[in-house]
Amino acid sequence: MTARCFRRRPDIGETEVDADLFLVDPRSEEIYHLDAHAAGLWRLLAEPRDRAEIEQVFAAAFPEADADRVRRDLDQALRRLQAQDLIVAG
Amino acid sequence: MPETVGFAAADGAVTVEAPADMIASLRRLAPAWPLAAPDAAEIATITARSENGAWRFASSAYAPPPYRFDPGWPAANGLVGTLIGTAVALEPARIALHAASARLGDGLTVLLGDNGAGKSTLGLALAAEGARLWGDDRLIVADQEAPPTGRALGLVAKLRRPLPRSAPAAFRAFAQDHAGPAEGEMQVLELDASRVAGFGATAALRRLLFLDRGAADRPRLEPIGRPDLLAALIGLSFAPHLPVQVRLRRMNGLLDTVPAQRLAYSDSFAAARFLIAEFGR
Repeated sequence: MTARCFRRRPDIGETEVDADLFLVDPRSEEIYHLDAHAAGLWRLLAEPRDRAEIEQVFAAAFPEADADRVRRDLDQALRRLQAQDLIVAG
Repeated sequence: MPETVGFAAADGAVTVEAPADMIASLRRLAPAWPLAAPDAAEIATITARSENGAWRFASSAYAPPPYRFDPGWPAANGLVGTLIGTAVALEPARIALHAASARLGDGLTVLLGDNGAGKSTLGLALAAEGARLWGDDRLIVADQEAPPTGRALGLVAKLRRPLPRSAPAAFRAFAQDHAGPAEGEMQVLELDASRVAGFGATAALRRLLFLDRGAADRPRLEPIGRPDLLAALIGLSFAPHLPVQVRLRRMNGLLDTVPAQRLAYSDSFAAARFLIAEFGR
């Protein structure tokens, strides 16, 4: 079985402000503010990636951090982006 | 019986259809808003609808939020808000900010905050200290001018009663001397032209201050990171006529041209004295 890939919705616009990102959803006319952590995830999803790949990149980026904490934060960020309809999984 | 009145906005008339007593209250709250010329072209309409004892408003220029307003001044306030929203929606070069504002020194100090942040009280405290109030809740901004300018709407100033316990004697006397009609908790203050700008008066924006009441015993100005500033400004702006990407770009542009800080404070009256000491009257 192939792992589900997370991908950005292609019509979402983005504006970078310092390390943060502001995403614009033209369908809902909403603006979303992503902090540096969530913005890093969004940038990583410039190419579709599965959950394991994303976790690997985050674990390498935060080698000092507790692995469970990194996983929890990642899951939370993925859930939020999905709930906001900014990324899709499949 | 509904009454129909045309108010001047952009290059034409916004026709308001509402009960006569509600229109009379609107004109008491927005006494300087000019009526449209009899031959002005109708460019938008606002209608009032009663629903289970409350009022809702619709505009042909934008979709107002689905708020319901109690009869009396709350409904008249809602109608004023819809008139402002309609006027903004008809002018692509302008946006509205959820902000009080006053002229301090050579331009406007804009006090941004959500409901309950203390905008109105701080604005009136500044007026009591001799500054000229530009508005206590909404400011129309030409954000693409250099420098950006704010346009007053000439609405009556309102004060919530009872006054805060910290209100000094001088402010209580000011409120007493200018007391106009009252309804429920709301007290109108009748201020002359030296204390409040008239409809259409414009002045350059000199600074944006994001109110953070309760964050400091003594008033102080603090820097805020640009992303947080932008997120706050987006939440406190109103521009239904702009595509969302354009709105984001214009809010970001406003922060390029007008300095912005956080005002941490606890007491509105101490904050007013502090701002006048910092920026002049």
